[in-house]
Amino acid sequence: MKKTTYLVLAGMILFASCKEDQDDDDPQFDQVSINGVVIGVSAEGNAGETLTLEVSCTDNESLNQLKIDLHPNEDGHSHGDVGSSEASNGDWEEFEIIDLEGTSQTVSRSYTIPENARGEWHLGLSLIDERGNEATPKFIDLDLENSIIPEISILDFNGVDAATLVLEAGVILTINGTVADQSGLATVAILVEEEDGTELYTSSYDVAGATTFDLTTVSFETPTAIGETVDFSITATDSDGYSYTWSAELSYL
Amino acid sequence: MINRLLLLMLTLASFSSAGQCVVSGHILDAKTMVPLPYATVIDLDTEAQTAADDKGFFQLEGSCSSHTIQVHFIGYQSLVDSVAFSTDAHYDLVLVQSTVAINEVTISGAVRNSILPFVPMEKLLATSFSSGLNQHAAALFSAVEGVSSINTGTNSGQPSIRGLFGSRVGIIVDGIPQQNQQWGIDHGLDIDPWLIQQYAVHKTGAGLLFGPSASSGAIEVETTPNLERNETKWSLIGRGLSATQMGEGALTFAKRWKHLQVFAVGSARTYADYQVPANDFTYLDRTFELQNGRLVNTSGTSNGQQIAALWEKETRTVQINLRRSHQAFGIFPGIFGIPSTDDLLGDGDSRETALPRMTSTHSIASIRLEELFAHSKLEINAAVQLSERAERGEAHAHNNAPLPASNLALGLSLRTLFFDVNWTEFDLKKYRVYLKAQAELQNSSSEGWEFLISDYRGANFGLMAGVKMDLGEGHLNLGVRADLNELEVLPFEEQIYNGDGVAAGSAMRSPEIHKQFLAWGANANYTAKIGQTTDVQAILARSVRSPNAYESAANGVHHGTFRHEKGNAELTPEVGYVFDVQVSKRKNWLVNPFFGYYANFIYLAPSAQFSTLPEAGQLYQFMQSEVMRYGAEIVFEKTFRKWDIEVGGAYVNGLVLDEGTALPWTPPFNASTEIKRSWSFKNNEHSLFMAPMLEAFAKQNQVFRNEDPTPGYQLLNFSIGYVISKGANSIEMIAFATNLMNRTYIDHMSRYKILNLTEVGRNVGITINYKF
Repeated sequence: MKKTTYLVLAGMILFASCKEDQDDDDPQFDQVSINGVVIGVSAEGNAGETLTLEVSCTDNESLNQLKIDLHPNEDGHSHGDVGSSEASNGDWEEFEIIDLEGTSQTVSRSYTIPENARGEWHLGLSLIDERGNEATPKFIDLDLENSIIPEISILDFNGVDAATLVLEAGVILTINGTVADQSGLATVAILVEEEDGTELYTSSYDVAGATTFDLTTVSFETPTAIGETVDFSITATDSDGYSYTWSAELSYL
Repeated sequence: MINRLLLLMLTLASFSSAGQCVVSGHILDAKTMVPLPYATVIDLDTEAQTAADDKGFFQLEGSCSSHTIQVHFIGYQSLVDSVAFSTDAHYDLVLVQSTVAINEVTISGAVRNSILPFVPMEKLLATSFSSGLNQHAAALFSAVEGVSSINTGTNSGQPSIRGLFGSRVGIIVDGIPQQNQQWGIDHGLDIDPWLIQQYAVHKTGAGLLFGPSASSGAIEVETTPNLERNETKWSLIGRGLSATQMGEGALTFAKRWKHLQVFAVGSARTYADYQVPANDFTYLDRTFELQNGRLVNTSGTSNGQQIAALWEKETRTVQINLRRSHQAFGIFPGIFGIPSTDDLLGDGDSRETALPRMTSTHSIASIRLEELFAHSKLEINAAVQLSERAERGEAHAHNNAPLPASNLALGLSLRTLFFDVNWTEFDLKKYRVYLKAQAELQNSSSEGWEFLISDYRGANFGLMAGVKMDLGEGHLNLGVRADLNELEVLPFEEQIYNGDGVAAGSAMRSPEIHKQFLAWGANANYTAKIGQTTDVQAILARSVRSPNAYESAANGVHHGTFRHEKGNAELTPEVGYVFDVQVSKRKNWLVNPFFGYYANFIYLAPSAQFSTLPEAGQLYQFMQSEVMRYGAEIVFEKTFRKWDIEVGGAYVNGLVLDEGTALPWTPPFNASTEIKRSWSFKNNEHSLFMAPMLEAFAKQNQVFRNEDPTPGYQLLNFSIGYVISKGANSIEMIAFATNLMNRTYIDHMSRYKILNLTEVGRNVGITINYKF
């Protein structure tokens, strides 16, 4: 009896369930294409142009809903293998839940990419069948080029990356970066303000006719700040009236 | 004349002996259940005294009323408790070793619960909380095979019995069902673990006694310690844990006068942000990096207080309890909605709590009245409870709604009134009759700019009757119960705003619900002894549970489970049939298989729709299906060359028959082995123990739709303690470590598994308990 008991216990300890999960019942994405090109995990687009999305999906019983969730990668998150390499400009979002039926269906949607959109967007696709089985969500990195709005590239402040920079009042701040626009710039404005919106420093440069502006020519004495951080922004406006703002939160001593 | 005189004498003699009863039983070791021969048993009321025989059997005679019994045995803590003397009273009284069983608070429960054979207790356990292997009360209960803890936060959890939990498992503290945080199905317990003197786990048929909220089991907790007359006990406890940098302290005081006993506990704890051996987590398919393996903003504090008074005189007992527990902690940004990378950076202070954060308070006042008559006992319990929960976050709005003025996202308040009357009739030759009437009234209200559940009122009235029959070779217990349940949910309409942010109508978020159910349950329980050492207990139970307010009317994002949960007003009372057999041999081994069938089991399942609420994924909705559940627990205990060895395992499986899948949140097979060795020296005034423990969890592939399987894992835990005792004073010093090998694993029952977050790594701690 004792031996039997030991054997039962040992068997229980070693026992592991071997039942298969239910992946075979899940619906599937067969193909996703953008502007007629079948894509994997990344795609490109241009601001101001039309983006046509086609999603083909199947299920062994019946499809029920497709969710399209297009959002900017404004904070640097990722979706598993779909990572983050750059931030985005603009708040373009598309969110739609589409009812489906049958075992196979292709959904087509067209979107106009806003003129101020630039950077990395994520296109998320989710799919469930009529029993509630969910497909493994599909994510696509959408890299949006923009030749409409000005472009601002910032390398550092006084040779230090903005993320690690710690400022104090009365220091000469030099910005290492450039502003560019193919159709021609109009103005470049710099604003430093407290978190509550109180302006600490502001200046504007008339750069009409130029297609680039070297920000290293801009330097100023940092103002006295009350809070531990200040909001710093550079706004470039081109000759067509399109503008783009680069902003960062800078730490203060 | 002589005949008349004889008749008169006989009549007088019969009258004089009519009030005499005999109580008998066994004195047993709490750990091994081995009889303790020649233990001393004293009736403190009459000063009658006897000694147990060489098999631990004792017998005392006295009036048919309640007596205070004291039991002594060298090397064991004395036991004092109230015992009802009746014609067939038999009690197994268990003593705890005073020298080696460090802080193993046990057990006199056989006395108070002697009326409970209608609901078999799988195990009356006493496990040391101070050994540190458990972080909260729910984890403490998981020492019983078949009970597991669902971690609902860094410092809280909810007990699961055979994979079922929430509104199916009753938590009965000092006779009162706890009604706390009932707005979700998986919120943690607000019970201070330092309050717990003893607990009992009922796995099958508990609904018969405790009502529909215990349809799948109950955990009874007793908070009143046993004291000898004129005894005073203080205990000062300090404890620290490394993984959450938790520090806690507790002070307990207990004093017994002739008839009055008071007991007071105060405790407080603080803990830092939770640390996990992981670099990232996933929320609604978005992956975020963790800074230094910390879940930012999960630090918090909690405290608990209880004061209780017990007055016992002759046949009357009155007990009053006042208890409050309070938690305040930060909410991990990944729980409150889709976080941003900035949210996860934190401010570098692992103890600072920022928005979002939560407070939870549970307060209860209860009274128990007990009156022993010559052949019966009357017990009345009454309680009022208030449970409040507030979730606060940065004010924000969706769909053009105006920005809220307050940071109160969700405020929930539940008020509960409870009352029950219990009558036990002893003086029937082969029968014992038990009658119970129970009433519970609830009122819940909600506020804040988020919505989870509408205001509701609920009422439950239950009547139960049971009979225990002596069949010679065993006992048959039969019981039946009827419950009338009423639920009224008020409608809630959500304001709609146009593009200019102006109110433009409303939409029904939660319709009015008014339901009334009459349902009945029953138990048949047979216990018998086979030979001298083997006990068999079989129970067939019909359990019934009406759908509660959350299952019927919820409609919002539940931050504890990271999803949109929706009630179903069409649910009907869940009816289940469970057959449970327990075979044990002198507690050396125990085998406990069970099988259950439910015609309409209520569970939360992913629907075929996506949520239209912001920051929510798939919509989960309550539904009902035909379900079969089965499993078994096995325990083996043996002392081998002074090493106490305990091996246990539990397996459960649940099948949704309509779907051909497993039930969601089914715990994996698990087994544990604990080896304990104790040494005593210096005239038993000093003792040392060490106890390594290995826990093994199988991979769990038995999952519901869209539920992720989890891999198996093994955990090595270790504790070592040193105790110095002198008279009534003692100091215990216990060091412990859980997950000693720092294994990275995902607990299948943890809500953090949805975030792909691993459980805590190596956790080292120390407890010091000074008793004086």
